[in-house]
Amino acid sequence: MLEVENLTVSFSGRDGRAVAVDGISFSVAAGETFVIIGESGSGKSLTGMAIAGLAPEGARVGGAIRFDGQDVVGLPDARMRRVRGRQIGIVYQDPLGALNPVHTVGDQIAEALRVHGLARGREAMARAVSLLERVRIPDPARVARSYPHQISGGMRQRAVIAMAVACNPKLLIADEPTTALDVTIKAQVLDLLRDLKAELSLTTLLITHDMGVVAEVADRILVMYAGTVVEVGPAASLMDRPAHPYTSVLLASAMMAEAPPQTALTVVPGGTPPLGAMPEGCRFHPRCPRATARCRAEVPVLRGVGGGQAACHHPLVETPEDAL
Amino acid sequence: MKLRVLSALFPTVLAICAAPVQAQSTFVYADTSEPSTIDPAKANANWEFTITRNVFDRLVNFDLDDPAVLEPALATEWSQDGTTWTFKLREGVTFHDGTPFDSADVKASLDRLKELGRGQSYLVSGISEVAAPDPATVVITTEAPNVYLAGNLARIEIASDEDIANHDEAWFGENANGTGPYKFVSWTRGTQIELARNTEWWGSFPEGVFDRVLVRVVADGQNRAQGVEGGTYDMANFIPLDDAMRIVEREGFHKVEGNNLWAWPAIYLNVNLAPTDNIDFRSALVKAFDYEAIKAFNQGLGTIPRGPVPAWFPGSPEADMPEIKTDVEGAKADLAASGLGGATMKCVIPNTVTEFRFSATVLQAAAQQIGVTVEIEEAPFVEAITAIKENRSNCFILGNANLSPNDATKFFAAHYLEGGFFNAGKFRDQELEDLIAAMPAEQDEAKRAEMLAKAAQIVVDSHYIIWAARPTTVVVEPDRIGGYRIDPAEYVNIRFWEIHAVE
Amino acid sequence: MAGFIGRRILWGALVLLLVAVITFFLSRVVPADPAAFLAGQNASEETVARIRAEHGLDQPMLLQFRDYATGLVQGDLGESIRTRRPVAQDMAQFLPATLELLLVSFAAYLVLSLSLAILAVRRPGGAMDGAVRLFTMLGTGIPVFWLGMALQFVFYYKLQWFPLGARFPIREIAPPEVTGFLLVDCLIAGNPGAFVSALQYIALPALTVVLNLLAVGTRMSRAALLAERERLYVRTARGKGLSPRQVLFGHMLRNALSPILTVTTIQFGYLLSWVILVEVIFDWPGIGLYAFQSFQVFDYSPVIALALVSTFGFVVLNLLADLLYPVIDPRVEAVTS
Ligand SMILES: Nc1ncnc2c1ncn2[C@@H]1O[C@H](COP(=O)(O)OP(=O)(O)OP(=O)(O)O)[C@@H](O)[C@H]1O
Ligand code: SF4
Ligand SMILES: [Mg+2]
Repeated sequence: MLEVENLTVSFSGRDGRAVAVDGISFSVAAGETFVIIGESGSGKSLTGMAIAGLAPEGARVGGAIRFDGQDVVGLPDARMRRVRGRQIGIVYQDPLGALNPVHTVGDQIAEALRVHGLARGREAMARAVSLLERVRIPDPARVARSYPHQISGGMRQRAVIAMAVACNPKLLIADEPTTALDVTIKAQVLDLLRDLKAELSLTTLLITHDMGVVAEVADRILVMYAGTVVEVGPAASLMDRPAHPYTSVLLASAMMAEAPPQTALTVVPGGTPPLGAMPEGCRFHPRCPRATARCRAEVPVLRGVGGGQAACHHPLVETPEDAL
Repeated sequence: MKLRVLSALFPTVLAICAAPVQAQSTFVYADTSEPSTIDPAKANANWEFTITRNVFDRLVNFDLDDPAVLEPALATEWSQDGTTWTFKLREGVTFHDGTPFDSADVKASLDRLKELGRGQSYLVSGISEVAAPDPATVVITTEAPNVYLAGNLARIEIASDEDIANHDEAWFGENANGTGPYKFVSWTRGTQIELARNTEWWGSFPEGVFDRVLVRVVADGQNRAQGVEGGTYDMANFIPLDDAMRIVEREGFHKVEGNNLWAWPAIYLNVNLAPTDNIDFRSALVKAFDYEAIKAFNQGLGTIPRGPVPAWFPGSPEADMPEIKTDVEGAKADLAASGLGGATMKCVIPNTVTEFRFSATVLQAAAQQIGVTVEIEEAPFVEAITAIKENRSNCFILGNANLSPNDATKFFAAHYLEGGFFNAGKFRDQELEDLIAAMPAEQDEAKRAEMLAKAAQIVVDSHYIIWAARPTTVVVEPDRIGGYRIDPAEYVNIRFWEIHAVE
Repeated sequence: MAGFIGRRILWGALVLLLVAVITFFLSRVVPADPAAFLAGQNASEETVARIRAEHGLDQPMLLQFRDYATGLVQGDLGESIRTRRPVAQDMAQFLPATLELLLVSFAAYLVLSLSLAILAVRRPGGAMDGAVRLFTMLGTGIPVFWLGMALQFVFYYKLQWFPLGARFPIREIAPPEVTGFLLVDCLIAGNPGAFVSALQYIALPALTVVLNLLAVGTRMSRAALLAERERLYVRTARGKGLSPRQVLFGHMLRNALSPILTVTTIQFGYLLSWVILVEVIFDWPGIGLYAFQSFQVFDYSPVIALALVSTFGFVVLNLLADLLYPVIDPRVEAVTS
């Protein structure tokens, strides 16, 4: 239902173009939960925003994004607005900032219905209250009348989710929906997302850098590094047997999440390279324990490895060809 | 192109939106200030006279073209016999409210003026009694014989004795019920006073006289100039000379020129404060002053005064007096005689009038030529005149216009005699005091002229005043309007009953 | 809440008293004699003395102040020497004209500064942003009196697009005075033509006031809107399918209003002073022109009254603003309790 083909997102800066998302391709099937993971700055959010037609000002989006068979890249905003919020619901990370402080929670949910002409006036408000109920908010009528600062963080995130699913969208893009929440709330929100997915037969594109979240909900996983796809595959096999060294490092750091931060650093030393100074060859090679001369010279392409695909010259899992 | 279409269209659109309902025959006069009062017993500024002069009548009027000639008004005949003046009143005159006019109104008005002691009461200060022996006769007794009384009464407005009996001072401050050519209609504070023509008036109106007069308050000279030029106002009280000279050159306008100023400006030197208490020092300043500079500033209009009284004033000695000219060498000699070379003097001058300011800088430059320093400080009028009266300033600057059509003694009393309001430098000369006191009693016109000549010479010789200039007055009149005449006995004047539209 | 308002009113009263004391004594140290003016030129010393006594000007200053303050408490603002009427009566007469100019200017200021800010903020650093900046800077750079005269020169004298110095066409009959607000009175009289005329007359004076304040107002509104653009709720709103316009008017504007209100409250002080100045330039018959003309002849009471009325206006405005903050932004209710 969603096909992304050779998507690039670039910015024209003072010193030439900076390519933040560099020709990535993937597809999401109806009903599946597709997760994009990667370090901060790897281009996850840009990818999500590009799909929703909300790439930041000054960004140039290239390639193709086919949603329900229609290419939304370059679609005029007036047309895209009929899709956004209606067919595609979006949930963001910071639930306090994501809500307008000067409008009531109910108003903001009702607005989603009103703007797409699904309900008007009192009816919209009534449906906002039932949506709040649907996302398991106790005393929904009161919360609907409250301002964002008057309710807890978990409730705010539920309200944001209620807003995103208000119009029964086909696709839900959730960009780090749990990052700002504490552990118990995080679990509840994940539960909610899972339940909603079932109830509303949602297709979910989940963006996160939290491996814990991934394990619970993912059907398939896409790993991004420095604007490129380094590995993509079914959740189970990718997590059990990561093929790309970066994926394995991510997983290791997730397992050591309880450990002091220094330990995590030693597992993945360094960080995402700056946009203007991408290394030659494999972008991960300066940080990769398996890097060779070939890695420094030749850009690895995605190819079938294990259950999925990985872009690595020296994958951790045998390629199907190797196995032959 | 687009802009041009727009700019052509815009006024049209506005005009259509606000279809003007132009009342016929309205004359709009832009005055400089709003009256404080329109009480004829208190009015004392030309913008107050604008109302009182047109709403009320006087016993006599004077010919603007020859102030020595008095014309009948509410009185038809008058005569003097020693200390007694007898006036025969016009019959059949009524006030705007319909009550008839008679001698009781004259008596009540004059008595009230004297009692209040305000406004122009100084013009009637010599009156000891007003009697009304019959409705058509008024007999005025003066303390001493006074040939000028009838002329001075040409400035005194007559109200109704019933109003005087029935209303308090506050009523008179903002209501006016006269016998004059225009009726007071309304006063919108801060905006305008509306007058309507009195069709029952005893006098005669010219062809095209206006039925309605609006006196607007337009404090800013630039606004008055632009308003007259743009046709918003028909005429205005005092348009700055530069603007006036420019406007009269334009098509659709002409100038009315005339004399009414005695000196503009006149620099008063404090005779009680060093160094100007020294007569030679004062003489040096008079000689050093650059009269041509002021004349050039006035675009060459007018004359350089030879003394206090202009040539066109009845009985003026000016023609026989020597010219006063810039004479730097003479000034240096006088300064040497005074022994005050290198002295410093301070001038606190009123900050309101451009010409005053300019003449102060001319004085400064002239004094510098002979090695005298003039420090100039500008202050509001009242503050400036207070400064010199309290001996904190060596000089003061003022404009001089007369206060009476043919009586120079009132001017002398105000400016050069002890206690005169404008005698800023506190000048005093016994011979002058005696001369001025004796003049009104002198029946012989030639002798009065002689006395006036002597009085003028005393002021000249005292070097109390530097008469910087005597400019001609220029009034802008649109070609569509006629009848305006300059009043030689008033700084600014308008007689609405003489103004008329011109085809 | 009531306690808050009570405290603010008390505070306002204190400020007013202070202003009364300061202006009163300032006016008394000017070495000029209003009685001399009142008496008129050529009046005798006795007359001047009598008038001085009538107005209590011969009393010691403290006594004069006591009398003035006593009157003030009873709503008596003293008597104007120039108009020879109670100042309260004069103020009541001239206030509507000032308020009308003030309100029209204020509305124009809000609309213009916000519109320009919205235009500018569409593409920060773009051509429109630059044009707006240049335009508003020009308005601010030119002194108000000069600007007023220049506008008058161009639009009345040269182009004849706008009329001169009054509130209504001089030769026409103005609608009957009901409220004193000419624009309102025109509507009450059911005369749209007169309303348009009155608008034409108020246009240049109001524009003069507004142009001067536009730079700061626009810059502040622009900055406030720019800051809002970065906020996450904007993304959420866009995510719901709202158009940029809907986001701007439905979401950002209200959020930006708090900082704009703060600046506006401060600007209002300038607005008030410029209105007074503009009244003098355009012969607008309001309390500013009234006080100015009185000031010129050392008629103190109207000047003090003007200071008091302006201060009062400012106090009320600040109170209103403080009451408005929680209405605009529900997060700041704590302030008033
Ligand atoms: N408006 C912008 N202008 C220029 N560069 C941008 C802009 N927005 C994002 N970028 C750059 O694009 C890159 C990817 O940003 P993105 O927000 O997609 O990262 P992310 O993977 O979502 O990271 P995080 O986990 O921190 O949200 C970053 O390096 C960022 O600096
Ligand atoms: S290509 Fe080389 S450097 Fe890149 S991930 Fe694979 S092994 Fe490491
Ligand atoms: Mg992100």
